[in-house]
Amino acid sequence: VSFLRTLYRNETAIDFRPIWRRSVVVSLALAVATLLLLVLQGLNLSIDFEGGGVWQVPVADGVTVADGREASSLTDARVQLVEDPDGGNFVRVQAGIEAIGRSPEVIAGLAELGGVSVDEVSVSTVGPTWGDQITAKAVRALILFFVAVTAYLAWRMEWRMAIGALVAVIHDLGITAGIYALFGFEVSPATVIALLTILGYSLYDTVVVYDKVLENQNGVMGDHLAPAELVNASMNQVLMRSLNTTITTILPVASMLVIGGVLLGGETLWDFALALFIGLLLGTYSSIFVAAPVLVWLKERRPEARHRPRADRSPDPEDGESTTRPAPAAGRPMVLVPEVEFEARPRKKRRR
Amino acid sequence: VPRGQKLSALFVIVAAVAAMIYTVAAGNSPLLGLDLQGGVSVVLQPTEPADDRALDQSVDILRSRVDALGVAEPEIARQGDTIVVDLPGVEQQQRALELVGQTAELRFRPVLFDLGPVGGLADAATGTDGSTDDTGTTDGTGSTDDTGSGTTDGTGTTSGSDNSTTSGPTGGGSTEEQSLARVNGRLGAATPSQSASTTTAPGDASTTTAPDVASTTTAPGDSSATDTGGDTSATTVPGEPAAIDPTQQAIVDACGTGEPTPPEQDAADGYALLVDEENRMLCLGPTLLTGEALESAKAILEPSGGWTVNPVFRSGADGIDLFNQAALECYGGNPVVCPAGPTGQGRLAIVLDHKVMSSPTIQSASFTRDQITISGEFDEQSAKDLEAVLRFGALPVELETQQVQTVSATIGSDVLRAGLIAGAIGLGLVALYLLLYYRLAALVTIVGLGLSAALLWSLIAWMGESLGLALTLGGVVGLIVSIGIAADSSIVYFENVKELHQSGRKLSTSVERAYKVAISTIVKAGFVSLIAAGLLYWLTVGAVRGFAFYLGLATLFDLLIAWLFMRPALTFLVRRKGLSERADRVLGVHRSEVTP
Repeated sequence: VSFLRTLYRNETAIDFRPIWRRSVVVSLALAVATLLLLVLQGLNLSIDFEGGGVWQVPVADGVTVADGREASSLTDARVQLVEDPDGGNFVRVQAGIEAIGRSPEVIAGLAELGGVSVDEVSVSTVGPTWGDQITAKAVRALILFFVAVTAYLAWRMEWRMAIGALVAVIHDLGITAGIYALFGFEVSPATVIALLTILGYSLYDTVVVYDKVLENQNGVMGDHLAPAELVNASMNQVLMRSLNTTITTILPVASMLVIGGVLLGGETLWDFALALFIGLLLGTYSSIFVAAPVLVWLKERRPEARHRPRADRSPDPEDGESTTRPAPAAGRPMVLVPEVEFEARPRKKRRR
Repeated sequence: VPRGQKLSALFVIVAAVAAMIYTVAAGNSPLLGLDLQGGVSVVLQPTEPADDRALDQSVDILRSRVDALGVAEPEIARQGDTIVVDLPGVEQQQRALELVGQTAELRFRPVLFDLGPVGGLADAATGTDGSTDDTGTTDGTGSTDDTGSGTTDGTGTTSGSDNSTTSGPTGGGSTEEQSLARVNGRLGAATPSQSASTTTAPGDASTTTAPDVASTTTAPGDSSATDTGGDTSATTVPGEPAAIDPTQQAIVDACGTGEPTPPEQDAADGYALLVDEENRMLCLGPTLLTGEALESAKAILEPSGGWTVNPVFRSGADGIDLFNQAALECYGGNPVVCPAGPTGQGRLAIVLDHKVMSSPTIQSASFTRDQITISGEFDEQSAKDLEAVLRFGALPVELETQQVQTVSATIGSDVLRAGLIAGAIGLGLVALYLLLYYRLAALVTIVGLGLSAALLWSLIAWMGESLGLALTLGGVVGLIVSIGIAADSSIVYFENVKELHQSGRKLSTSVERAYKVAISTIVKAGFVSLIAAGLLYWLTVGAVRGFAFYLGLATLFDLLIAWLFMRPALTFLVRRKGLSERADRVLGVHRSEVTP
């Protein structure tokens, strides 16, 4: 409870440095595991990527999978009974691209099985080359996105921060994919959309952490602290904020997962929510435990940054923001608070 | 609260309220995508690279096909080289799939008679339309109840009403099928006697040129010499055909004279009244051959300076032979199969998607498959258009169906309900959490979310009404997700305020000062979201696009609220009596936490 209290009051003084050493190892191990999983097991891609067809029809109670298979007239199809939360069941038939040409036949068979008109049968077919194309488009969008965001962050912040953010985002996307491969969750277009959202969140979180680092770096702290200490202090300052944003973001997503997916049976909704849920947790984790140590590591790679106090250094020519301030007078006490500026307006009498 | 800030906050509030009032007053509501209200979505792609013009033409052709279904908001759009056909709410889903997926047939059909310009006819048509209601009661059984099904009423009345006025006794009780059967019967009887005269056509096969119907010679008085059907129709449609001979009368009955035959009733082997490229109404007979007989076509600039189109038929029984059979009938002017025009020869119309593209007169009884010229008053554009029609048949490019998705209306509404409930509960939980954590300041976030929601809802509804932009499931998810982002912005701000206050600032000063730091972070992070949304929208197709659009939109509104509303609202709050400097109530910061 006392930890929660300090957390609540933004008074945490966690030393993240030893944790970072471990978290980076954990993340690296997860990344390797993900690569192995993706290579060995692969992703369970929906027909939208592989091509094929899915047909779905509401049926009365008592209709079996075997009935569905017979009605569909497709012998090698995957037939499932899906529960409709409003009562009753759906028969869901899924088959490869060779079945697309027989779609009208399947529709007619299923409509008869369900005793409904052909227009009540939901159909989704995807041609063989289409999946490749949208995958290629998505990958191209992703690469361009990475380039654009890296450029933007390098311009507004620092190139090191841009790289750190990129590493964190790739970490989140990769490990989410690994989890999908491990559990065999189906990757649908909804999943892809969710992954892209995660990308946005993960970056948002990382930007907030880095922005605090930047603020402190340009303040009093930046003159006295080594990179690791600086990032550590900043991390403590934004920790609660980071947790809060995660909580407020996860609440609607969790509500989608539970209400939409489990209680009301919105299949697509569940697809969305699952990927979002996993990705959001990872995004928060990575902004604290991946993006931060990567930034420290990148900053420490500069030889002069290691031991010498900042006051002795000339402004760093590499950084766009060379707003280093003059060195404070020796003997001035170091305070770990954002810099205090004098206000222009005369102050009223303070009441504390 | 400083004046400028007060104004900006008021601006946001007034804008949101005005937007809501407008939306309610105009009765706007968001247009639901097909995954939320049920419907059909088809993605088509050309089998080989196609230029923009060909794709745009394809879109137009698809649109005219889909129009027959009566979908409220069909969306047929090009996205790069892909054509996306979205038909939300369409009830005849399988029919829609057929219509979009089919490769429409290019048909060669004989011109039975020329009814003259549609304009002249339109008066007559409205005249008959007006009278349809009357006749519907007098001899109504024949004209309106013909085939019994609701959808065919249109044709029923057009052919029926004319029948009733022109030749009461015969037309009165006839259904369309009956009348067709009758025509066929008469044709059968008439054929032997007439065909004798047609076969004798001597032809110089190689140099046949057909003065295009488009050219001026054929137009108005065409039928006066040989057949009587045409010229009467040019002046007064209903009155005079009664005078023509029984064979012609049968054709008039089959075609009808009022409105063009609707696409769904235009059968390949039936009779139809269609509009040609010069806006003249033509009565066409059963299809004699289809585009499958064609091999290719070429638009050629003649040395004389005029454009012609040279079709090349396949060799053999399925190609040139079919065409020559038709040519024989038309050249001879067989009054039943292909009656002669004023020049003594009949015309063969080239029909695509229920439109007559051209209807040249056949000037030879026999042709060599690659020595055929269609001439007329073509310019470069019209010659190339005809070339494209002859070469590609249905569409200027061959389209392949890449993706088909149908969502039944029940599933769609289930998903929508689930999404709305999830969104509402999510919003409630976020509000509750913020209230517990940030106390009264959370009201700023909640009101901000409300304002943002009002603006978004109005914009989405407006876009649905006026631009036909639908809200898809991807969009709903994007909006639910944006609740979290909006809360994020507040949290960044509140945490900054807390921090400054804890370091010894007055609460009101902290509110003012934290804004500068917070807004910089919010804008940076917001821009990253906007970059993501923009690129996704620009580079992807389908569902992802919808998501990106609404996420981007929501992010923009979030930035707007953060920029204009957050600070004045929080300042307003901390300046309230009894609340000033009560950080414990406003933000949940206890005095013990404040460094003196």
